[in-house]
Amino acid sequence: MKKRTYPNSRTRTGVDSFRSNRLAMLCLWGLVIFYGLAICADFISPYSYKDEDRNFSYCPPTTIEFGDHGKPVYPFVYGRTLTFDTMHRRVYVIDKTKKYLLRFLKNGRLFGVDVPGRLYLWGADARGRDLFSRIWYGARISLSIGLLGVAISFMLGLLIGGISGYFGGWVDGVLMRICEMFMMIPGFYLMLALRAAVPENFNSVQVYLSVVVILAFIGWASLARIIRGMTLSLRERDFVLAAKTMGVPDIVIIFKHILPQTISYSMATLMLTVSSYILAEAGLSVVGLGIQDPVPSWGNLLSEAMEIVPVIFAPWILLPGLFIFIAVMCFNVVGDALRDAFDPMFRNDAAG
Amino acid sequence: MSVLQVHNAVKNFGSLRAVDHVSFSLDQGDNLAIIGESGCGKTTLAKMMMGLVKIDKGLIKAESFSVQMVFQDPYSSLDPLWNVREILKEALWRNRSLSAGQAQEKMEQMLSAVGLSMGVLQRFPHEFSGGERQRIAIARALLCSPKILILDEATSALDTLVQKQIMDLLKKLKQEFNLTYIFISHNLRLVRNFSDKIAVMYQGKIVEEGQAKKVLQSPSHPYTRQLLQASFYINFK
Repeated sequence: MKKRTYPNSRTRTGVDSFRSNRLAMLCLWGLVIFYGLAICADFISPYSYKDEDRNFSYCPPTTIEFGDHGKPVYPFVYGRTLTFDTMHRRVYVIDKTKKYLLRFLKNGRLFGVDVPGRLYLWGADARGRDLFSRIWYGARISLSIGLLGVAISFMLGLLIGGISGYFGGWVDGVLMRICEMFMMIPGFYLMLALRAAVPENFNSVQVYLSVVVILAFIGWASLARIIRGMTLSLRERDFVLAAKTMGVPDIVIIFKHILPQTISYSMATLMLTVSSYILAEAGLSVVGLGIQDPVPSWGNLLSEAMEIVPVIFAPWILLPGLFIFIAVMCFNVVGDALRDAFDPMFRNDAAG
Repeated sequence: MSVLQVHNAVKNFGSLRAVDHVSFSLDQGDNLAIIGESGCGKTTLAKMMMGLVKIDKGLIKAESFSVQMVFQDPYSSLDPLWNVREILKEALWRNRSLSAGQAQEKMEQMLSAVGLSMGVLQRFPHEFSGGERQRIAIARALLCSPKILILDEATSALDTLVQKQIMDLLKKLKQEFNLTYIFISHNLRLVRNFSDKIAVMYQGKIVEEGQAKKVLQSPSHPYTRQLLQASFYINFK
């Protein structure tokens, strides 16, 4: 009584071993939730990412009230008025005379309050934009940029590693020297140099795509080297020799016999690379070279926290950092667990 | 009619001469055994005939794609991620123009020829025993419609009973498809019952060649005698 069929028993052992790793499953679900919320950013966030109100600069998080003088009532928020203290600092005083009821499913958004009330679940930034909304819009950029970058690196790495290992000889020599050139340059400087080569008049979509390409450029070389090593041993396997004698062209052998054998290993490496790309994008954006305001990414949201004064008076602007931390940690844990689950299989495989 | 000619073939790996001026020729329907110890160049010679290893000097003449090979280890000669249908279909690569129905028909014919049922098509290599896997490998080789089949220690990884079944199958297939065999082995007992001609390889050279009976009964080269003695020692002890 088989419920599901896997290509082979080792795949099944790998999947089972991954599933029994509770921390990894938790992190996997964490990632699923992150991506889910990022996709639904338009719906779950009360404001658009560019919806600003300068009267609420650095407004602290709003609390949603569920009771009035001890009696439970329909949830609402109090209004706030901006005053200045003796040091000319902004102080937001809660104005108990104004109440704004929480509205659900209005204007195509899950929740919000009526104007002129403002709902800042996680506080506001310098221009009075809602950090909660901007974090989920930013998640779209930050979480997708890593995946897209990795997809390109992955294709380049597999193709070049596969060709290099399979053909060997001077092809291998040339391709591997190119890889080494990329690996030689420190990643961050390579990124800055490539970013400098991007025209300044790009719009946000073009900047996004160029960041993807830049990220892909820094990571493909190490994957290509690993795949090349595996291919070197795989090309001597009998089923590859058999395919050759049957007249199957080399490129077909690479794609259908050799690369599929490396997939389980490279999937694990992939997850680890995604997290390094998320960090790289954040690094680029923090120094102002990545995604440009008003479009948010976790990196450029964090760039507001580069000065000490705003951090002291509005510590919630550090929140995007927490999200970067969680996402990177989840990817790393899942990647490590995948490697643990599938790598022994690969080693068995190579020995047999 | 000669189907394969090997003329003074040489292969060097660095300073090691793996195959040293080997010459022989095969006629349609021949059944040649190449015997020798591990590392004597048997497998390299086989790979040269397949075109998998480049020849340094000399000449090997055979019709292109007329030589196919059954490998020693049926565990590594079938891609573990492919099911039998895909494995067999690959052998029809040069007949890609065949319709799906024709391909299916060919695969089914071949499976019944090697004694397997249609049900195996959906299954993966790890689900089979060593003997069944070797049958699949033989079916795959024959789907390329070769004239010459090289059996590189094709039964060495199997236990004796399965070994006998595969040898019987190979004898039957030889008749059925009018094949020429090159049987590479170190097992004299198998060779004695299977092949008509024997070539003994030693340090890259063919040191003795002739009719199986003659070579086994009155070996002329000291190495052949040694090999026979060792084998008989094991057999009768």
